[in-house]
Amino acid sequence: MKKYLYSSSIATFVFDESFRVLMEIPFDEKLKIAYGLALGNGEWIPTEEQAMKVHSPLIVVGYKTDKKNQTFSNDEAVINGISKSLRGRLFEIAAADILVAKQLVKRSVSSDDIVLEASRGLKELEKAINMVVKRLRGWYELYNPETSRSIADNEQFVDAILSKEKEELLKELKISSEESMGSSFAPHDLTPIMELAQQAQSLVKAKEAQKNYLSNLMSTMYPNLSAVATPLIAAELLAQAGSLHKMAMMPSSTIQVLGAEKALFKHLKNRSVKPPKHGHIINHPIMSKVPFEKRGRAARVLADKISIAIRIDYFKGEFKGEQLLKEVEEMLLK
Amino acid sequence: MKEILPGIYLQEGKRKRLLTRNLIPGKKAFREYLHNINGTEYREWNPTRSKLAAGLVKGAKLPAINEGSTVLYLGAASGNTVSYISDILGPEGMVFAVEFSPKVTRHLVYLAESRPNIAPILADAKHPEKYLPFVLQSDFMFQDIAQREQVEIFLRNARLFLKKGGYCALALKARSIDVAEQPKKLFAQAKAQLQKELIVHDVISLEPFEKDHALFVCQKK
Repeated sequence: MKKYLYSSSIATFVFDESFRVLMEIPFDEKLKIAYGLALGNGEWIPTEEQAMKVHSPLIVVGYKTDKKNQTFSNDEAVINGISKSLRGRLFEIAAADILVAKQLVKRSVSSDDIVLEASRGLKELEKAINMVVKRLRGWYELYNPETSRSIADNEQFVDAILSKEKEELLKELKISSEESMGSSFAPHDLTPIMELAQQAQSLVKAKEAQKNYLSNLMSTMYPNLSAVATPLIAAELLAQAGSLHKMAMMPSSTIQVLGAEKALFKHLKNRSVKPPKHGHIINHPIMSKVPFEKRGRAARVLADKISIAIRIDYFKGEFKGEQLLKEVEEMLLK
Repeated sequence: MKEILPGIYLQEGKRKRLLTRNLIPGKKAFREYLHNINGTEYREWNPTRSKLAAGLVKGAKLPAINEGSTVLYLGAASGNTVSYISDILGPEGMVFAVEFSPKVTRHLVYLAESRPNIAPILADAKHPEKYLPFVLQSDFMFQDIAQREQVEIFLRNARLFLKKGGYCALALKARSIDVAEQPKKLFAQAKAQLQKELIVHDVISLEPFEKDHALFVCQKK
């Protein structure tokens, strides 16, 4: 007579040929999680060995990485029989599935996810700062347009209007207040402008802190990649790729155009459109030193070395980042 | 309002509306509209956000989703479509919702905790034998996965987890198989591949709700 061994998320079962339950070893709440995770990984669990001691030979239904010389059957007729037999336990199984799913979500958080969120967060903070300062300039220019015009950098502009009075700022520009195009504001009209400026300043501070955090994180976690690509570009590439594993498996030609997906797919759909030469790596300091017509080659060389660097990081090899960067410089800047 | 399939209602009028009876009256699963018709609460099923709903609006016949049946759903994402299937199946049925991304599985878990008939499973649908402990064989199977080997994954799961004679539906995204190839060609290839093992009843284009998508309605031999 055939007997089947099957572990669900609630218990280990032994069925006979007509799928009546011969034996059931139930799991308690803690075991549901531990065994559920083990079963999902294809491991044997103690209750299965317990059942095998009592009933043998058994045909195993399920997936195990180590077959241990057992007979397996994942035949649809067998699964059908088991499913019919366990139909009444549906809600118990579902409740156990929830427990296991929760644990798997918890365990799925990796250091890549932190880099991903930090990198995206940084980009969004930059956008937010630009938006706030744009509004701030529009508002402040009613009061003092000359200063706003003379300081192009957003962050310097915010610092300047917060630290100095209008008269002082105009004096620096050698403009008298009669000459200025700005109107005079009552103090209560000026307060909201300054409050907005303070908000902008604190956003800038937050951005700087996040930038530092991300650079440090990248340099310690991915030393080779950060050395070749600079930490912040490395983070952007990694965020675009999705994870360390995915990026390490990419050919360097893909890394070369990471961040230029729109142009790439336009090209793939319509070959008369030229393919992009570079994605995020265009922001690399070396790229700006290379003459315009050689940027395609430069992007290729840089992407090559980046792909080597990420693989060293992925397989936890020795530090070779600086040497790789030197090689890039030698090839491109001589 | 007429019942086009068990538990699925179509309201005719200025704008066609697909509705399911709310399993948990008064509670929204997502940001859908609730409609009170003759004292019963219905949830509006938006065909632009659910490929199964798009297929139904375009006339797909899916006789296998009934009250009390079991459904295997591959590629559940945050569980929008799953919540409507859960409405249709009622408290005696069960949806096994398989999703690979941990981020959206969080929402799926919240949904499963608020509705009694959803079992969330975080697993890769490419390897169906790995979630054998968490799933029972089902009456109906639906797949919406943007993967290159969508059809192969669908067949692999149907072999293990679909009952004999059971219906299954595949929402095929042509662009994930090949970005450059013509969708029509890919649909024909997929149909040929499916026909080797399943009876293909219908191939429905999901235009205008989804671009380059088709719904394949099949049945296991």
